Amino acid sequence: MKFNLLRDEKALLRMSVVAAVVFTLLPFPIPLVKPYWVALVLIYWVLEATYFRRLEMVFGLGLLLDLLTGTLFGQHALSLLIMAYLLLLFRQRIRFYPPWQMTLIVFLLLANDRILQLWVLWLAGQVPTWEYWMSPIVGAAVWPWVFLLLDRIRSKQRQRQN
Amino acid sequence: MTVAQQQRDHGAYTTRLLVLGLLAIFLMSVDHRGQYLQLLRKQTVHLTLPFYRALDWPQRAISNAFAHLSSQHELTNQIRRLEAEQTRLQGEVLRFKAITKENQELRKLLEGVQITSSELILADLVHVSMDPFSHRVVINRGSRSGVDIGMAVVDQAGLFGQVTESTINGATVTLITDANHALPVRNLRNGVRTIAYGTGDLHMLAITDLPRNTDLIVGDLLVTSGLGGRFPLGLPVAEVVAIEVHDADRFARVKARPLAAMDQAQQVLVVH
Repeated sequence: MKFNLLRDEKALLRMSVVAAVVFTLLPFPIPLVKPYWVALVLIYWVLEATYFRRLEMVFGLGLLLDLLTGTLFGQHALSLLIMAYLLLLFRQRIRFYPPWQMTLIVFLLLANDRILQLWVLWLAGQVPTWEYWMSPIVGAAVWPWVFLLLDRIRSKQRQRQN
Repeated sequence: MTVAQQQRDHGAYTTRLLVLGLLAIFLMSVDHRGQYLQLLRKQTVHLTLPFYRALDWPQRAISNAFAHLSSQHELTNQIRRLEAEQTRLQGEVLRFKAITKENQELRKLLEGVQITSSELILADLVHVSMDPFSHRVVINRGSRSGVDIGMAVVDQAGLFGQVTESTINGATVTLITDANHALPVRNLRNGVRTIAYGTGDLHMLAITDLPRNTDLIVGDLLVTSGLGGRFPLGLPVAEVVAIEVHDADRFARVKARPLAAMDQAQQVLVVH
């Protein structure tokens, strides 16, 4: 397996997912406000490439995240699954939106996800504080940078291949 | 991509979503209700803990580097402060030894249970940000240092939690504030026994099954009662901060603030 970030798109995919998981586990000043890194990376790859077309992969990634963060087993799996499904349905449309509109979509997806996870937390007997709702805003603010970074690396890859 | 193909794709996605979604919901309810997935967690901890340790390492290296850079003046001050603290603590330990001895003699008179002398293992918290709702932390000592499942974990001020999973080099600790945690306690003032439940809030424990006429006042100190066999007797746990009595309720609702610094602790002691 060649592991050259600048050559191989799959290597970039793996690296970005691992980075997202690591970022999730690194301490954040206010834990509840932390952006949903894995979701951001997932959104990028579902929209811009043909990876993550198989929902089983998304499901597996979610379970891994559940084990690592210690949430209910299946919570992130369900959350990422629904996010990937919604993206796949509207992929053709969202892809060609201007950046600000795409950011808005990302915000809506993250907010929708918070509502979904609130439902799970609530059934498990927990009620989050207001910071919980700030996470989608932070996520949407971070999204353009995630997008630009991954897009820049991929366009470099394409230039090299040509 | 033709329209027909796209629609077929969407159909396949929907089926997958339904099947996997139901599976996720099933797994969550099993995890929430039963003990089955505990086994899975106990197994996977051998994989996840080394990962946590690996993540912690660079952070530790950076903070060590900063420690090297701190000025001599600062360090001298710190040493002086710690020496003063050390002297004070040694005095306390002397007093504690005397009290322990006296306590043991009294217990002999009462023919009660002997407290076995307990050993303390110092452990650092591993800086990994788990789910903010799960109230679990990772420490850098494991079975090699003698840390085992069920042991009590304390910080300088009071009871912190208990070891729930342990590997060679690390262990996870469930905090006493975890929503699934129940802890047998005793009111230090009059010996009334009850159970303090975690609330999912790092700064609050709740007692929900205390009859209204029980003698309990704000400011009372709750210590471990030793019942249940998990925790040693007499570790300070929490201070009662509020008592609510509703006419319709047969039980008082008591809130207590844990003495341990749940969100600030850097080092903890595992009671062996």
